[in-house]
Amino acid sequence: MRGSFLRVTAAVSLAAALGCRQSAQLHGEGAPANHAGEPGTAAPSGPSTPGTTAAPPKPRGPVSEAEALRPRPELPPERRALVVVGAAPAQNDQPARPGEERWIDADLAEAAGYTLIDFSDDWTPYIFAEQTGPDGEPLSNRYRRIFVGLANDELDEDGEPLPPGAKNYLELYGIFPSMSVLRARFVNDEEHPCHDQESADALDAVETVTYVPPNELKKDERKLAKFRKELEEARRKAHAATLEDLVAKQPNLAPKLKLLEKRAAEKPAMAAVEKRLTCEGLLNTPKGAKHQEGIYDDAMRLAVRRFQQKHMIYEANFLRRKTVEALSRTLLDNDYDAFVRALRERVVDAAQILEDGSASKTRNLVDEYLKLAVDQLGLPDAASVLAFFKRHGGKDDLKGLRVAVKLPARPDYYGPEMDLSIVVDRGDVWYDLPFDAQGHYKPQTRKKYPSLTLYTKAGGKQVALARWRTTIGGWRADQAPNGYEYFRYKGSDVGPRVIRHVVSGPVWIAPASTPIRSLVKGKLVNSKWMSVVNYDELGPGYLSAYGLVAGYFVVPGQNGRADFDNGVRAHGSSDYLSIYSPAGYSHGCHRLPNHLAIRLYSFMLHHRHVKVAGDQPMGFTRQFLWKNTVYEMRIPSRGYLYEMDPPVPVNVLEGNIMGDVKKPILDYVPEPWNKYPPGPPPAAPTNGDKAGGGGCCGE
Amino acid sequence: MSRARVKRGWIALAAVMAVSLGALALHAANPAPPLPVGVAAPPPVNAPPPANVKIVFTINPSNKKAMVFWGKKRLGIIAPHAPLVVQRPRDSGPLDVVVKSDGYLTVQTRAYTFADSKVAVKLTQVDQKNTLLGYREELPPDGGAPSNPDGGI
Repeated sequence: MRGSFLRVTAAVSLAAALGCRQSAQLHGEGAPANHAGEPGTAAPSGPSTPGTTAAPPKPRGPVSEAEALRPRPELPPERRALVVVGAAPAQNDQPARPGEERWIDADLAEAAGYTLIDFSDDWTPYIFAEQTGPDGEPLSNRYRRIFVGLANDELDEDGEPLPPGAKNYLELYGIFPSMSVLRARFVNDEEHPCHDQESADALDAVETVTYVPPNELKKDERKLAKFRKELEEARRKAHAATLEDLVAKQPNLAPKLKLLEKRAAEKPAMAAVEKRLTCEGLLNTPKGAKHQEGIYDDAMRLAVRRFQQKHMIYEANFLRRKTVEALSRTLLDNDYDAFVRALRERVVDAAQILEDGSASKTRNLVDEYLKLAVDQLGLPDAASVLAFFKRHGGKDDLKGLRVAVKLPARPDYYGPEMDLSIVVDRGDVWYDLPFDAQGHYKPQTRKKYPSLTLYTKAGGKQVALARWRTTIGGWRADQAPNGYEYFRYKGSDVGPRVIRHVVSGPVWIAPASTPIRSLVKGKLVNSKWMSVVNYDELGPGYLSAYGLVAGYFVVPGQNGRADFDNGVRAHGSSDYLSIYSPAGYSHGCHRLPNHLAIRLYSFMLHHRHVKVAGDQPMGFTRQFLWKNTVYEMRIPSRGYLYEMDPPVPVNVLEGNIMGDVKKPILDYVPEPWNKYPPGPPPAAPTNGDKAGGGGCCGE
Repeated sequence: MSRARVKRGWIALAAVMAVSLGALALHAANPAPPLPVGVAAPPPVNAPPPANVKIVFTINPSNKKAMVFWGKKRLGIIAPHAPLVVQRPRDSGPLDVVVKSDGYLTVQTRAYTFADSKVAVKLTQVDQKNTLLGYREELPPDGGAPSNPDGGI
């Protein structure tokens, strides 16, 4: 009995295993079709949803405009789309025309050349869409549920329910709020504007607010008092009526007066910031850190960080220019910007485009199409979007909403099998140590920063579609086998590679050399604050070392050999400062902001032949010791795998080698401020590639 | 085992068998109606997965006893050769737990709620901690300075 049970179990397992190995195939544009401005190509606008009723046959051949725009209010939500007829932006002193909303047949609209933009709350970018296998079986993506939950303020990063009223502000990390979340924001902010003219004037009077660390406040006050005294004495001596008169006579004193004036203007600005952040529910919250008025303390820093996350501001957590600008705007204006950002990602996804103007000489299709969508939907400002959300505020109204817009045809180089390739230019590269023997930092200026460019071939020429700032590796802390951290050069490999695998919701398997301190974090677990494995870093998730999606760089194996993988990827990242700051480096990988990485790989999957392998289960566990407790990481899946077939070629250019050291140092280098056991550092592991370091990111 | 406990066990077994036989009898009394000739069987309906998942915690060495905590709550005890079985709502997020056993280092680990799963936790004796990744060699008392320091200059 037992034997037969085992045999049956084994057979079932084998069948399941074979099933797992099968893969769906998406052939370029044959997969999800919603092609901008190309009529007569009606097809499902997204992956099929298991369990839904069979859709009626798709219309064949071109459909006339009149036929497509015939009102069909009786259609069920999954078969209809909203179109706005007659909307027009303000032009030549003529006010904007809102147009007339109409429900139409979604399939006919597509057949007539409309693009359907998904406004539904369970929208995800293409990389997280549900796919089906060759037999029609769903190949579910386990991170999709969390992505949707995060976008809807329903789940936290672990997939656990968010406390009532809590918000995820994750645009900076590539997860844009759902339309329902935006709707709630608009409606709430109309009732509680958090904006007054006095505060706006105070903020308009400054460009930034100087950061003074709380422990240096008194010293700073003494310095300002000294300047005041010096200026006053100089004014008396010079018999000047005012300080301005004094500066006119003695221009060398201008910087001191300017500083005093700046700091004086910053006081009311700081008060306005406090008022605004408190009103927005980001500062002085019941459970938040305690804030001391007028001081840029930790509570203020965290509130500013949340504000920046809410408004997708790529700045350090201080009151810098963009942050102050956003603080001075009305809430509804900021909400409108958030709506436009969310709409932009949906337009990009629906039209399957990438060109955002970042590569010179290439059209900015993203902004072009976005503007057309805004104009055609009659949503040119906050008031119109608020009105739209009020019209579509029913319980289920936004759940399956799709809107139809007419976009111009994409450039001729678009096709079902685009000849795509990637070039990573490492820019200015320094191999020298960034500090001297005493541990003093040695600046390593870079004029040319690393970039990642996606090309396509058109008419025998390479056309750059998008070029974005990225990272290369540099000197990083690395944990040696003796448990101590040393510096080690974690370079980015040079030369031709390919991307064969693209993984959405990837998991980073931290190499053994990862500093242990980064693998543990504090977390509230069932009402108790405790230390746990830092799964934020491992993923899947927006904070993962690999971000929300990664493409794996490999050297293709020859003669039946496996690919050589040195651990370098081009991936999304939440660490935007490492991408945009002058001293930012990675461990060798090429980081992109999550939303750009999502666009890049969604685009590649749309326009190349792809096999969908789906979820990649694994049973990885690893234990490590930290402060006398064993932490065990358990990773059930590597992520959701797409296989590019054929792979996309990549070339990594060496860049300009700066400084005195012309080749990467491969050994461990002791950190001057650290204490080590006697003797030389342990030998650093070799990773088999001498082109420039490599071994950036683990497995 | 006490006589009372043995008796309770037999009663429970008998109850389970009675329910099972009842269910079988019910099935026999109400068999599914035969399909009409020439009509294809309807496609099997994909039953939704059970609302709960089962997580089985074990330890190695299995002859020890350990307690499993989830935050403030003690989830239960892994007895010698007897796993701890916990039910959780499916897809309710991961369970970050701590496993404690006398003489062994505390282990923090995680169970997932995507599906039924087993969490086998390897325990390490306190005096064996130098076998673990992340163990740091102790620094000598003088902080690593050489034993024969240079003289003054």
